[in-house]
Amino acid sequence: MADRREIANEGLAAYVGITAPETPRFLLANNFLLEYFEPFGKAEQEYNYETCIAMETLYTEDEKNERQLRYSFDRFLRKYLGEDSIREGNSRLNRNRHYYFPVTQNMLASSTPTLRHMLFYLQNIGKNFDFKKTQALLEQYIFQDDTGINHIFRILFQNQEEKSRLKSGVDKKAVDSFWSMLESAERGRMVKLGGQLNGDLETLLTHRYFCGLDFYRRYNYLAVLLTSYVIQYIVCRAGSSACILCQGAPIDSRLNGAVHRASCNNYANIRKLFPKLLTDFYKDAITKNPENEILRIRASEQEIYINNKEFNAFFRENNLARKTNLHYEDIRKTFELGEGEERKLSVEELVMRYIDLTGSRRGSTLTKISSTLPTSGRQIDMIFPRNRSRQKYFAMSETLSEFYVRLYLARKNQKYDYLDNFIEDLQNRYRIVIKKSAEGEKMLRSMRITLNAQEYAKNQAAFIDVLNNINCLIKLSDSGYVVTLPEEKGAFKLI
Amino acid sequence: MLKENIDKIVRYCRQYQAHGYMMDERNLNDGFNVELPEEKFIRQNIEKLHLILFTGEAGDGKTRIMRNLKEVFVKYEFHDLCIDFSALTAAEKEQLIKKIRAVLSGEAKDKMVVAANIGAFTQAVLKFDLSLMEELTKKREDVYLCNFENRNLAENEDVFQKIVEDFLAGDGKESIVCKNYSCIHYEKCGFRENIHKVLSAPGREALRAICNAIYLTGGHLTFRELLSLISYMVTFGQDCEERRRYIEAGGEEEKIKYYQIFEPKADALLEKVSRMDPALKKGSCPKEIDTKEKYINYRRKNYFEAQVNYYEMLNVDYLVPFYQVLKYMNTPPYHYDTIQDKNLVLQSLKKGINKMSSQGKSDTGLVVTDTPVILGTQIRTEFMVMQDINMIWHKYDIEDSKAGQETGKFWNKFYLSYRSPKDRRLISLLIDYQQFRYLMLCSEDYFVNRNELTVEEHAVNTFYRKILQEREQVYDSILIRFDNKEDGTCDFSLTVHESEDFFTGEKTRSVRIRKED
Repeated sequence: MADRREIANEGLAAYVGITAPETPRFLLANNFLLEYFEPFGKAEQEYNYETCIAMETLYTEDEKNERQLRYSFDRFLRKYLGEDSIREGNSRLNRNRHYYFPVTQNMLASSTPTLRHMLFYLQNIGKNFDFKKTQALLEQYIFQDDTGINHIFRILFQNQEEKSRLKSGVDKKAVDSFWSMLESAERGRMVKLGGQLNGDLETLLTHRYFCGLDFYRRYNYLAVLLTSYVIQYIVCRAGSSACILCQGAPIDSRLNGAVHRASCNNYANIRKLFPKLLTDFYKDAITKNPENEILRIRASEQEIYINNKEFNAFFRENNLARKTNLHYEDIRKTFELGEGEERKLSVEELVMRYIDLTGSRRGSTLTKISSTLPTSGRQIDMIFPRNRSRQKYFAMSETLSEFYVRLYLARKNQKYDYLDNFIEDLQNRYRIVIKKSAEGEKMLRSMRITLNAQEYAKNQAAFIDVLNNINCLIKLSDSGYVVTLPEEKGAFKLI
Repeated sequence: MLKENIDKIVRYCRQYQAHGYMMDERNLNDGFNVELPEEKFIRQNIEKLHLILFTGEAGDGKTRIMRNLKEVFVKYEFHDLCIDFSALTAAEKEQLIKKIRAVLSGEAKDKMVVAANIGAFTQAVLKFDLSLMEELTKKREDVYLCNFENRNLAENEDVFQKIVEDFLAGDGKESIVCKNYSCIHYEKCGFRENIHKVLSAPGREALRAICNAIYLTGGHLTFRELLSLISYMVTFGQDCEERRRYIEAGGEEEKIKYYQIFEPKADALLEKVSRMDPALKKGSCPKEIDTKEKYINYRRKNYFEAQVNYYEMLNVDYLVPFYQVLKYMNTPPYHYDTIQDKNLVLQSLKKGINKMSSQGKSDTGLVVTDTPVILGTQIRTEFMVMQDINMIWHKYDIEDSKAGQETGKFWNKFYLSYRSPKDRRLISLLIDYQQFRYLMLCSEDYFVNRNELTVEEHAVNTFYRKILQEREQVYDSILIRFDNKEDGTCDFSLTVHESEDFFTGEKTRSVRIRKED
């Protein structure tokens, strides 16, 4: 029975494309890197003062303080190799396993790929993906840095440096099998999203706005980009006109009214994707069998039958089994059947009533899958509040805004651009709606959300404040602004 | 006559109910007019110019200056006049940008004048011809860029005096004399007192200090706003008739004295002024000042009477040292070595930069820190070789100053710069009032919220990172500092050590760890 249940859960996860979030975002990035590089090390390997002394890459002449130095150095390593950050971001990690930032390739250890390689498959869904090129760029981007503290780490861990072990390529069958759940229209959207991910990733791996940074910033931006595409994937699957109505700032008193309510509604709408996919999955599973074209339900002698098969057996046969059998009275009440009564029912009705009956919406599999949205959003400071509140909303935080400005200017290869162009690009490329526009309103209307011009203006004003706080904004006049990067701000000369 | 003069002046006041007149005023020729330095410059240099670009906010005087120079433009064949860039369609804007490009490259021999909102103009340039932006900011003899947003009307004492006098008494002395002897307020006319005060040297200088403080702290006062402010100081938005009714209804005369300009009002400009209220600052006062209200009036009035220390009396943090340091930057040689220079304000500023990035340090050497933001600030990294590197403080437009094109412009910002050893390029940290204030707060150990990086901290971090990228072998030695040492940790250094095998010549590298104080 348990096996059948696992098959059912597996089936649902395959239908959605993901099983659970990979957190923190650094583990997601590590798993992504492992699509391109073979792991050297094992997660059991720990790096500390002892290992460095043993490798003879660290020494001290200060023996009288060695104990204190050892303790301090270990604290420093745990922080700067990322173990603290990763553990803080995921309390469920096994204490005996050690996860690090990939300062060297040895430190790249895999964790459970609960995103089911979705991002990698997304890269490969189109025809023009160049695996080898991306692999070479990633290697350069992540493993070749010799600046900042990384310079010291290169020497400390020099004995472990070997030539990179590269993965050989893409399993096309696995890619096709992964995306087999998509309809053609949805597949088209996904191909576009995959192309966009490849484009953004190439920009990130090649443009000086990212490559010119130290290891930590580069690695962090890679993790943010990948996590942002987990959210993009969910939005993309939510529908052709699904969009993200983003509050201009996570907390701003100007947005407490209509903007906040609309943002919460928008989030709830996107989150509905998961129960919808669950319903679709059940429907697909049932209609796959030609015998189920016409469905008849019958209550007879303390048993319920569907097309003359016992109710629980029917669902087992269609790979939708539960751990325990459902009881006659519960089924009869849910389906509003009288004893001895028989009637025809549609597949939709069967599925809806079955989901109600089994409480699958609250089932652990769906809960885990659904948590991908808020958890990923929290990881990149895009979904708030950070607590367990049910009413969540999308918002542009300082860190996320800076990332999007950087990526936008890198893509355009410009030092600065007009704010309106940037906001327009956020909407056209990432479906992030911040200010009033015909296209944005159309998308929001399809989700039954409307906002008046004044509320949009408040939202934009809040976003402008966020950009200003992170030094990414130059004010030209009361209504004119230019977005730029903090390090390029000095280069912009006002007329 | 004073009455007619007041009727004219009050229309410039934003608080006057018929202030809408101001919006029509641009279409009239009988409004107040004064020749400003920009207009003078154009008249003197018109023969050399091919492109004149006016940018600024509404009320800066773009239309006015174009109207004043209309005949000059005709005479010197400036046929392309664009009075309102924002009103053009997208296609027309593109056409105009192309034409500007052609004029700059010498392809077209036309002469152009364009008045534009800076935002709308920049947007069009970024959209249609990105590189034009850099082209326009190069100094050229045949191009005059007049960005009114950078103009400080209070910068020059003579110009300011001329504006005030022409505005309040432009029609001659008669205009401030009241001959309405039958007026019941003739003996103690508030208007007369206020006008005389604003026209007097102490009153005018006190007002100039307020306007200057707005500029120094990063604000911008348009020409229309300045006139509104002067008008408010004299009339408080009332004409003669309204004033009479106000007094008869028992309105307090104290409330409409010139020094009540500091009284908080729901107006963006007056709010800025009210925040500078000297009464918000503690100060000495005579014994008879024994109530809060008396103290407020005394402080405000005293500001206009004192004749000295205007900036000290205004309630703006660190305004005096900021003004001092700007004056210092504005004197040759316009740049000062950070190590050798002994200016006390700059020394404090240096201390502030250190304390911002490295809490607990108190010396005045500049240390470059570079702790990755994602790791927090509990364990910081400092690059020791960067101690006391050579940097300079300098004037905002030093490149122009050094090139002999000294404009004499008194900027409200300056730079801290490092010269790249690779290509001699300047890497700079812009220090405007906000940055200055923040650094001074740090230098004096005020509590500054460190939960998130502030915009000022962002600026310093970015500056440091840019410097680090320029230095060779900068990463060979690093200092690790712990915020909290209570758990038994200690600061330590890591230094790269290279050794060579005596016989084989093989080189090996290792890292030495050492405890640091």
